[in-house]
Amino acid sequence: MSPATEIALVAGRELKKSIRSVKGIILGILTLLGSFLAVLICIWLESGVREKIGGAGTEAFQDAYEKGAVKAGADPAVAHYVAHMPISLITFLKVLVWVGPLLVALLGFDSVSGDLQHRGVRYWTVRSRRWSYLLGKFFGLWGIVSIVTATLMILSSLAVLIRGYITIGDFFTWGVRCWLISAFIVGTWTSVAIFVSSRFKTPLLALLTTFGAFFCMWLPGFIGWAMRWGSALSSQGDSPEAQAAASSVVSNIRWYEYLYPNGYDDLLLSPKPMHVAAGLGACALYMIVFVGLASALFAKKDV
Amino acid sequence: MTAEPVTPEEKAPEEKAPEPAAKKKKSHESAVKLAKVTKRFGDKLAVDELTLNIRAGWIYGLIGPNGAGKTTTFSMMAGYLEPTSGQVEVLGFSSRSVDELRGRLGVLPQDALLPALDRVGEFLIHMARLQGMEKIKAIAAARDVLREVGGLDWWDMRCGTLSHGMAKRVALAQALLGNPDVVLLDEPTAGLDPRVAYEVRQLVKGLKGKCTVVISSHNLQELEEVCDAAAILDHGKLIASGTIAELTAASEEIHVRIGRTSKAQVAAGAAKSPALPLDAIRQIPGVTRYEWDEERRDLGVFFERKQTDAETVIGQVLWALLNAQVRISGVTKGRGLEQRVMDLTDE
Repeated sequence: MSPATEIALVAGRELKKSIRSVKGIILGILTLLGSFLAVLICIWLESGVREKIGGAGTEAFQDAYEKGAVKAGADPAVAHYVAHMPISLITFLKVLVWVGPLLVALLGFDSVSGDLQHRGVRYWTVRSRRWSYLLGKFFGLWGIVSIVTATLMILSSLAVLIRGYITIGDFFTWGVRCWLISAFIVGTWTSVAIFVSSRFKTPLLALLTTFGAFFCMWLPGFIGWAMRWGSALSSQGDSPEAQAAASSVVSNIRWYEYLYPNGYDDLLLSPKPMHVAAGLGACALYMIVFVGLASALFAKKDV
Repeated sequence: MTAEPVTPEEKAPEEKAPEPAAKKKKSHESAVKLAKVTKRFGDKLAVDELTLNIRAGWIYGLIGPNGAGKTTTFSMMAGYLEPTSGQVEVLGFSSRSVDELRGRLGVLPQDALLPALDRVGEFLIHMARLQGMEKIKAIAAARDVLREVGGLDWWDMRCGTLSHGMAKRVALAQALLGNPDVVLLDEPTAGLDPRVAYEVRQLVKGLKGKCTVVISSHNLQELEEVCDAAAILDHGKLIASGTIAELTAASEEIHVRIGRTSKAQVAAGAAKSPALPLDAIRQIPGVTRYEWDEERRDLGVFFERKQTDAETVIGQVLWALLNAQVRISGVTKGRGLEQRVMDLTDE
């Protein structure tokens, strides 16, 4: 049997298991409730911006939006590019990349550790290569979180579509792109969660360690953000463009900021192919390193 | 060795699963081979240079007290544990060669929980598919083994709702999926009620001749009843190994349990403790010596196996005892596996 078939079988079972487990159902409901909350925030934000520009047209709206984005730390080129993107969809993207790691941690902490705890893994190790078992778990978890985020995206988009903030065209262009970006980023968190889960026989320890690992991944991102804002504040006399560049992730990314996957969204949203390639490469590297390491260690592990 | 042989349940031919298509064969006489296998857990030496050779077609027991290294040895055979040194081979391949052993090695792990949310049928189908079966064949194979363990009615039940005995039998079913060449069973009847344990034993006996079975168990009577051969382990070392007849010395000694004279017989004039015809027993051809244990009321008769056999000696000893009006409670060939293990692992 080919490893691909083994991976597909394990991943398929993982998807089914997650969908029907009580934990999965509760998390799904909470996520959907969260998505409606996100929609409410979107409506509130968009109405606020529209009120601010008064009766001015789309161009004035996009201009205000671009300036606001630069002020918030977006790369000027990216801000100019996404100014054509509905506020709702970029808000949803931000929500997805923040909700993603939480879903990954809560759905994935016992993915392997649960099987190790009660030795259920022994039914699998005599039938499937250990690395394909682990890859199956990885794709299964990545798949289920991506399905939840896709549902969230679709439902939220429907709400703002009815409200008239986006068009169907926006959804199929920007909306799908936003979801894909969030899915790639979720993949990096998933690889770390699977690595941690495969190292513990006690799911609770795996959960705590997953949160600890995610915090360690967030920290470099936070330090980078603080450093960039420090530079921006110190260049007060410079032009607004220089300040914006100093505070931008894309123009001014430091090596350690690559440790924080949620920071890749600007790279992946950028109009420049090099930025997108860097974002995709970073995501792929993350996944290869952590899933590869987990597989190598798991192959030697006594189960 | 008193259980009546029972024919395994007939299988409906139309529902029998076909053999896995492309089994990678290697010709060999040994189904399982351990060569100087050592396993350490930190400083603790669990198995010490163990060498075993389990012949294809045997039902083989792993015996020993707690901490003897049975489960560790079993786990290395199943590929769960990697030996610190030495080699473990199953059907000529490393026990961790999943692809080569896929569908040819079935394992019943001890205390491994079934996935609680899976339905029994669905779990077995998933396992069968991982063994390389197509979906339709996997369904047939799953139904086949579930019927074999007497659990076809549980097909739609969730594994988490099964009783201990039912779960054990489902776990046994997954070990038998696809008619593997080697089946490893770790404590297959532990925690089962006597009736189910009996049924499982019959099932294991039914595997004789169809595949090689290795059983790790504390239940020595069960092993004596089921196994062709066994290894006795203690403190991670091999203490003794061989066929059950060799281990129990069944071809070299017999034991007769002497009963007490009843009150009614004493009242009728019989001797309270009739004298044992020890001289007559000593003169039976081939008998080399005897041992009389007054406390246990056990008469052991030892003989030269080249001159006579156990059945002949039993007949002659019983004849002598009955002529001397001695009451007999029971007769066994050899010392019994339990006694043998007690003798060997006494320290």
